[in-house]
Amino acid sequence: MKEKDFRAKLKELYLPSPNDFVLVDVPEMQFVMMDGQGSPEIAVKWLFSVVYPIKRIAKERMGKDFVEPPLEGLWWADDMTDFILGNKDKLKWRMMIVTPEWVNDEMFEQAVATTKKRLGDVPTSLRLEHYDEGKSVQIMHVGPNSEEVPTITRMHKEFLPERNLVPNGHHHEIYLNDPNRVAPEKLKTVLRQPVRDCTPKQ
Amino acid sequence: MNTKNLTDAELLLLGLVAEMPRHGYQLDLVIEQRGMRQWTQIGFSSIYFVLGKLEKMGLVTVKKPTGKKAKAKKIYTVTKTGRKELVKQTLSALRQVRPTYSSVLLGMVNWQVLKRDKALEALKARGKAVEAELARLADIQIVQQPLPDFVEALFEYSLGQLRAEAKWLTQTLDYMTSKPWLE
Repeated sequence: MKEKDFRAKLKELYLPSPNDFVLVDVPEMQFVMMDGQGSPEIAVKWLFSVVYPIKRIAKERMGKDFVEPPLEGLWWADDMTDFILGNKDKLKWRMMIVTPEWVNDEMFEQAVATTKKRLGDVPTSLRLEHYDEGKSVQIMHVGPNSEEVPTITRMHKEFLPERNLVPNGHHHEIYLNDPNRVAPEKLKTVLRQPVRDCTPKQ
Repeated sequence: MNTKNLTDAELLLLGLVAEMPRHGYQLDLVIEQRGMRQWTQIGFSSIYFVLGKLEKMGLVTVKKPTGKKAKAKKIYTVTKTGRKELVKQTLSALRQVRPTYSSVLLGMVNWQVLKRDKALEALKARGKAVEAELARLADIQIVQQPLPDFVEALFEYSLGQLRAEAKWLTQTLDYMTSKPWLE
């Protein structure tokens, strides 16, 4: 992809408007990821630690084209009522951070080995894997994460049915700010939902 | 109103309060977590002293705890003037070059009073201390992941200066070790 196109795509994927839902086509991308249930705190620590040596290589290779990758999370629950009610201990998640395509297994293993010295036993679900969402609906949520529900509800009860769309994958959040450094009311989070068409048969 | 130049401690605390409203204990925690204690020389007791000065200057306001929560902590919030002043003085902090003079300058100035072995030994010890400081900073940098890119740049600045010093030390030691010594 040309530099200019790449920047435009990045903006489309990671900086949607907070005003309206938009449809985007999310390409397959590579992530360092980890799965779990309950608090994702340890997973987040692991991900950022493993990505750190990779980022250093990326910065050297890419120079000013390097962009700091944010933390992303998929959230779901076996019983969707838990999801709607936000029963945190019942929620399942996949935490992930995007990596450049040229990051290979060898680089990943090396980063894991370095991190192991610091954090101990390597979690079994920690891996380098591609994830492909395709057609998705998304919006920028500005404010604390606890106030996402009305927007998510509007997406599922209004935007999707009005366009004959149904969910096609897990609810996805992209955390653009560090909650330790940005006030809750200014936190920016991309809310994304992969979708597919389900036009009723005539 | 014209605010005089803020001290490092004042500017740092003003910035932390502007990030989000916080109480004194939270501010102390953040300073500790971000490893700012060393270079700002802010102790827990001086936080309230500095916050008091900022309040007097009208740069921060204190939300007094109300009703039942009378025992709750005072929360500090940046004022409009405070934010303006923060922007102004942060820009000037970036622009201004304020050289810090290392003790190594005095050490080198008086080099001739030293015996060769003692002098070289002292420089080697300095080298070790620089390496230790490099390792300490690199370690903080990893432990504190994720860091925003501008904070990464802040670490790179300090690491870069230390690396330059390490290089100077190696060169100087090499030279002073091999040159004939006049006693």
